[in-house]
Amino acid sequence: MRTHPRTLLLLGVLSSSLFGCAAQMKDAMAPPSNMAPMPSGSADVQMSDSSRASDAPPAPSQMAPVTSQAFAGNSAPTQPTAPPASVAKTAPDTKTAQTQAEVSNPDVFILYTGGLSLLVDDGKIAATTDKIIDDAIAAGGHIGSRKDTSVSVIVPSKSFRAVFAQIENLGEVTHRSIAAEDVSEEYHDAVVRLENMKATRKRLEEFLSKAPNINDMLTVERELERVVMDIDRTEGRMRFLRAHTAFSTLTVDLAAKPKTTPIVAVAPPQLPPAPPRAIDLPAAWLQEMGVNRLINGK
Amino acid sequence: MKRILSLVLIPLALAGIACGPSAKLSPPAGFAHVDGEYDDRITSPRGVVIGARVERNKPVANLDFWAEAIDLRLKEQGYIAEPSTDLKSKSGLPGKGLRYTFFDGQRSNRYWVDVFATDQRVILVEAAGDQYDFDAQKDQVESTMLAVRVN
Repeated sequence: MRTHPRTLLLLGVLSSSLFGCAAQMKDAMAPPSNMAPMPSGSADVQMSDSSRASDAPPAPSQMAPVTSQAFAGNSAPTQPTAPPASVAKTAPDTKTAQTQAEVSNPDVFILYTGGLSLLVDDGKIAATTDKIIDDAIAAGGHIGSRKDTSVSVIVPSKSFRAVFAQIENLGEVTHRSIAAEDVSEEYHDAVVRLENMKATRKRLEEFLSKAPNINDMLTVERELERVVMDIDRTEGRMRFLRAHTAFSTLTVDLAAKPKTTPIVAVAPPQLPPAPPRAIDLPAAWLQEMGVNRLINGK
Repeated sequence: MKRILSLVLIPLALAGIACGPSAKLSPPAGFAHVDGEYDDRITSPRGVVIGARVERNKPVANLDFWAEAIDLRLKEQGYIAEPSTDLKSKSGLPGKGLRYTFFDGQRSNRYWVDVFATDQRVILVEAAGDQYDFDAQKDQVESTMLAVRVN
């Protein structure tokens, strides 16, 4: 089987672009020379590991330090540190141009998910649910879903802590959990991969414009189509990460407080006092007293 | 002469030993003496009856003992007591006033007992009658009971 010289040339271009891509990615993972290393105790950057979590400021309710795992039961979780304002302000429809700025910005992307179980007074579940939704809307969020005894609200991550605390005060907390997932690495990987794929696309487009025959054009077009699909997929994933780190989900389960029934100690039954014992005295006249004898005379 | 005297005195002495002291009532207006196994017994036309008798203080006991013995016996039979009161007869004997209501299945009755005690005797003055009639005459009854005499 003979290989056309132009096909060999195409393969050479592709391989060189792939090698270049790998090298570029390696460079991109290293911090830029004009950028300081990410401080582990930064107020805006939290929760990539437990040591960072221990630096997190305590929540108003004096909770335990933040970890990247969900908390449940008696171990009180810490409310997450709100993501930096730049992340929160990143709208889902951010233009690709904005991605370039984010590449040089060492922001941390963290997905927050919170859960609360509250006991409220009997008959106040619906009113409490409305209050939770109102709090979320007031903080710039919106309702996610609502059922009879649970509600899920989406709030801006920067307001997560405040909304969480507000909702905690609406009832008796029986369970709380906060899950935080650091997706910064995934996001930055996607940024680098996107740049490389765009560079590859550009080279393929140039090669396509110079393709001498139809076979080469088809081969390049197939490769170009695959690269474009990867670009779309990567951009979609980046949009998802931006959107979900800008907003946090808080799910609240509500239940009515059990009715308290006073426990009354039941005293053992008291036997009625026995009638007094009358001794038979040697005085017969005692037996001869009473209404009938007096009225009848005998 | 001696023979005649003994024929008169011996029966009198025997009669004195057999009779002993007895209680007497002074019937108020509207009451009359009637027979019965009492030293004295008077009644009104509506059946408000007062009877008096003297019993031996045997076993020897004080006034409180006999008042309580009577009270227990009556309560056993279903008599409902009011609080007892201390009394003094018009002749000066200390006593206890026991007051009861008794329902015999058909009518509600009053039954009062004034009990006096000496070292030798227990004097009982009883009064009974339908509640309505008795209450209408209770002042007369009370006064008559306190006026008992022991001869």
